[in-house]
Amino acid sequence: MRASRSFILRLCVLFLVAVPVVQAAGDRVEPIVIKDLQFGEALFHFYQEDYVPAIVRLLVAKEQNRLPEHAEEADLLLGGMYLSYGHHLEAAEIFEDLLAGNVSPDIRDRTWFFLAKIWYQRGYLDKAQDALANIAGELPENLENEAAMLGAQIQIDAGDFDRAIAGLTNWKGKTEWARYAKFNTGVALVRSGRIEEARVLLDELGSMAPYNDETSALRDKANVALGYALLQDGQPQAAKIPLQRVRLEGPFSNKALLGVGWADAEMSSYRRALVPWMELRGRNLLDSAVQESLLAIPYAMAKLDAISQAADHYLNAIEAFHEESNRLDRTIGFIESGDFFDQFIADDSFNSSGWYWNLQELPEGPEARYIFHLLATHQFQEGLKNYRDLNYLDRNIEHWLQNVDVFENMLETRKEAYEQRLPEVEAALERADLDRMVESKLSFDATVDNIKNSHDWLSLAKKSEFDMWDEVTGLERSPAVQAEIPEAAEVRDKVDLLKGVLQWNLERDFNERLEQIRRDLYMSGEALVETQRSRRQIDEVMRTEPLRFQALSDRVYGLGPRLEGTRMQIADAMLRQREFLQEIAVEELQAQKDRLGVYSVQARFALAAIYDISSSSEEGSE
Amino acid sequence: MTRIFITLVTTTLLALSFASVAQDEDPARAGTSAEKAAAAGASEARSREDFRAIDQEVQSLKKEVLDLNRDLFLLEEELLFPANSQVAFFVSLDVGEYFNLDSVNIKIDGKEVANYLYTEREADALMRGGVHRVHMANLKTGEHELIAVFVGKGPNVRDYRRGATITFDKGIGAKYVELEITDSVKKQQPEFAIKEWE
Amino acid sequence: MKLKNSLIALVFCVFAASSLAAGNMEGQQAPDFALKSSTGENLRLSEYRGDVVMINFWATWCGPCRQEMPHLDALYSRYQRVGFNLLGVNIDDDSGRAMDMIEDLGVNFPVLFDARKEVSELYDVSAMPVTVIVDREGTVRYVHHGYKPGYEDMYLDQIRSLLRE
Repeated sequence: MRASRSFILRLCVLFLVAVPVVQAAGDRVEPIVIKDLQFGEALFHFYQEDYVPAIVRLLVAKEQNRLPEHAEEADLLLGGMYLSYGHHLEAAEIFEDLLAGNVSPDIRDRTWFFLAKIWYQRGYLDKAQDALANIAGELPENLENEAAMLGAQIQIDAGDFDRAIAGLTNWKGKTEWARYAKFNTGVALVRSGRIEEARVLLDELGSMAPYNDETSALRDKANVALGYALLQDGQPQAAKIPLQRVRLEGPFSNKALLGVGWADAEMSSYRRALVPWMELRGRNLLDSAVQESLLAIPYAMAKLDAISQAADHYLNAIEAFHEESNRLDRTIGFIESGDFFDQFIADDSFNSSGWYWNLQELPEGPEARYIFHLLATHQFQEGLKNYRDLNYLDRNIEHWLQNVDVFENMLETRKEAYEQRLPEVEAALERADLDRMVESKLSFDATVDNIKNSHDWLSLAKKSEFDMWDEVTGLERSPAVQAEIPEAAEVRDKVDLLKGVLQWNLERDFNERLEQIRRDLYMSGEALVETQRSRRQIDEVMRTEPLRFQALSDRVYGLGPRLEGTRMQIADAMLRQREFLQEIAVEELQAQKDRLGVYSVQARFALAAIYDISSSSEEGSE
Repeated sequence: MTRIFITLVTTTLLALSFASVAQDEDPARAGTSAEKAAAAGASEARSREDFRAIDQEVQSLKKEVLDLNRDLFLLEEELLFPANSQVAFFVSLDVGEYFNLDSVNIKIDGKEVANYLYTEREADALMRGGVHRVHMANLKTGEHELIAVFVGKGPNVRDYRRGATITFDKGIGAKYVELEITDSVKKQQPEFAIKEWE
Repeated sequence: MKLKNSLIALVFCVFAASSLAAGNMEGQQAPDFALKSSTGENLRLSEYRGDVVMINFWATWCGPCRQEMPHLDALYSRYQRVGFNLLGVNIDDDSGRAMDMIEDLGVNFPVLFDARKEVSELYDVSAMPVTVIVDREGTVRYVHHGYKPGYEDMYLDQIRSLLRE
């Protein structure tokens, strides 16, 4: 299902430093106490290796400012993901920002490490070295190893072998990593002519007891490197020792066989030299060692005076080279037609992560084996990765394009719904006539205050009480009651009594009633305030909603063209990337053809020399 | 003549072999050391430049697409779940012992809104600290009832089911509800611990 | 991505464009889902991205489904190693019956239980069997309704061509 990141691949990739950051970042995040939900969400995707959703989530969270607790770690995670996404620029920016701020020493160290990696990859060796030097404390184990490797590699690249060698003796990390560093140093020493020093390192590697595939491969490699170094240095006898340590069946066996043969040839033991070369001859012609054996064999034979056999072999060689050259031509044609790379894309099983990705299996077809060597080059791998990534981006955009219609619909629906509801809301507001209500309440407040201040207990009378009071006072004023007759006086007394009782009742109830009214007023006041608040909110919404629609509308309707535009750029970039890859591939094949050409020439030349010899020996008879 | 032949062959071979030796026969990426090892001719320099130009462009395209994704994500959220009615529900795990989460069921105001089945991969991501956004809803302001139930398997591989009910208040502005499954209260007994965030 | 997919599906339903009727699903992203399988684990469609996936909706009371199954099993056995996956989705109310049937037939591919009919609704399945073939990128490429003897040859060709992509 998903491209498995095997240990082999990881170790092999160790000659440089791009060990998956993702793995490193993943290891470090063991139990974290998540406080920001959105950071946790990003992790949820990250752990499942869905890197695009993880990155998008983090970007969204940053945009919404929802990462108070985890801001630094989110940046670190983002930076790490960008790095393995091949997004050096963005990653560097993030890391540099992090360092400018106030960060914990732990994060600071890790950031320096990632920056060192970025600068190394971009070729700024001294900046990379400085960055490494800035790491104050201990990194988590995985990163520590990588840092040591990086340090060694920088020194080698800078030609500072002594420091590199010294670093090896003080190696802090795991020993497996140290071995690779040792190998690189050894090879670099050879290239600068310091054979004896290289010998020490490579010999050690070449004699170690291998315990798995990787170490076996490394051992063979070291032996081959040493053997050839000694050969070049004119020490054929010594060269044989490491070369013979190489396994007979392995990725380096061919070169070893060739080398052993040459060692013997150098010491003029041509018969002995033939042995490994004849073995080589039967192997895959694609291998340059095998190709060379086709020439080496007749060379030895000629030395052994087996002239006619030598001639035969040269003829065979010429023919084999010719056929191979034709095959290369056909492959070049195939590549130039563009189909080859499309196949690369199609064959690969897609995962939405796909960033830490290396071509592990060659696609089917005869053409692929020619590109084998190319795959080892940085540019080709990166180019291929880009091509693949672009394809993914294209599909991503296509996806969203399909949704643009949906967004437009959603927007329209919301707009319609709002416009439908609006008149209803407005009508309701109208009916409510809040302003009038507020006014009445205010005047009512004033009235009640007056009543209180003037202690106007009559105004709080119930209707029945008021009627009675009316009646009583009416009675009081009536001429009959006011007459100066004893019956009237009796009625007057009764009226007085009644009035007194009424008044007494009303006064007694006054406070309570006043309180009640005040309470009612208060509550309605509250309700009014609440209503006013709603009113203000609605006003606000009525004001802002159209604006928001406009803003959303702009965004939504702007999407289509923006997406289309990006898509065209992607298509363009894809074309150029593919052309670039094609160019490199064709160049490589052309180089192989050229090499075959050189060999062919040598073969013809040698053949001609043989014919000269034989014809001059026949001269006598002419 | 033959002497030259040998040296020619050997040096070619040597040059080649050092390049490939530093590179490795496996289809791995070689580093810049390999680049330098290879004959640094003019074509090499030109192709490196070409590559860099394209690479830059690809990088900037990637950035643009990521930004687009972010904007689209936000836009979609705003359209579907306007901030003033949005409530987001999350599931997280905080257990000491191994716990295999199988599913989470959520009912809001009596209606089932989510019944999420967790695959092994997802459960694993949760164990490591990931948080899963299990549901988004549009809710009116006011009180709402939430009933959440989770099913899982504990270390004894027995089915384990627990639920929790809360009433939460939706105010103005987006709300986050975190359904944390934790055994910190009663050891070996995972329970829901529900947290609300504004 | 998953949330988005289910949201989009929802919206499509809302707008009743009905373009999600099973027949017109070809060319669309296959709606994501997760269901419990016969082995007890939950399986999610999107986790199979990168492989060619065939989704077969069936029920115990469907005769042609029974006929079809051994052929599907053969396809599964043959191509599973090269990036092909088969997910059987059973919609019986009673998953026990389904379990019995797959045991009887000796089926090897994973069978998921959709008793709540959520997924079959998502894929607009009415009559059975329905066979949906999804490519490596998660796009629905072929939809077959029903089964007649000989269909399995068609499946074979389609799967092969998708594997080659």
